[in-house]
Amino acid sequence: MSIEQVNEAGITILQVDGSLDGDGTQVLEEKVLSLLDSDTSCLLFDFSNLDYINSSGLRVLVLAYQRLKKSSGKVGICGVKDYIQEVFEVSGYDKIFSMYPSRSEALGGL
Amino acid sequence: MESSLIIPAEAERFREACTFVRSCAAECGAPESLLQKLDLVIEELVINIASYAYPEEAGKVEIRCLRETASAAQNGKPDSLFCLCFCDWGVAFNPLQSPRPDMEIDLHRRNIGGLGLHLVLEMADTCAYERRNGMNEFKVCFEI
Repeated sequence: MSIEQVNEAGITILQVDGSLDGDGTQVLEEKVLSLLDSDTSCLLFDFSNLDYINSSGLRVLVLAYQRLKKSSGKVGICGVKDYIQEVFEVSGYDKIFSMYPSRSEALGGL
Repeated sequence: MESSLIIPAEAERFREACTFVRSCAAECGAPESLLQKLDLVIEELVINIASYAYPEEAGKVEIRCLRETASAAQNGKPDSLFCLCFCDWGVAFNPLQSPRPDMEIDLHRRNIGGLGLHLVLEMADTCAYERRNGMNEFKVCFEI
């Protein structure tokens, strides 16, 4: 699992590649917490190259959502593959997070 | 076809089970699209067993892979199933009776405990639980 951070148009983009399993989730959580502590208000997760996510990975997204909701911030998710889309649908999170087909559409919509 | 693997019930050991199950799934002709779902089910259930079946002492989990045929009521054609059985000898626990997360509550107020099991139960085509002779057996099947 690797995470690349890009800041574009006032949005912090985290491109997460590989597998968000037990170890990967911990790394992502630390990254997200440090961003939230440094006043990030708009966070976009780019999952174009993410192959796997588990319930712990979803919890990190929920953590970001819950924290940013309090400060009127935003969380978006883009580029999910079929399996990830199914996990979002099964958990009901596809209706809660702002989801976009691609990064460019997310940057335009957030 | 039936194969089994026994590993210590420790969260970080789930990858061994994934490798084993992926190899069995390939032998059974399971589609590529099923593999990540199998990984998810294994990771969530091994973590669950490590946390709740053996809260204080070390224990083991056995994972059996089997291919079954189930009669489909709709079209009369038999369905092929790829099934995983998770057996442990810890505290009795029926995943089918565990509390599910309330999907109607707003996300910012939702308690997301039980999400892992919810994903397992929703991803699988059928699930069954049995407690016998001090053993939990949880069977998860996928149509292939």
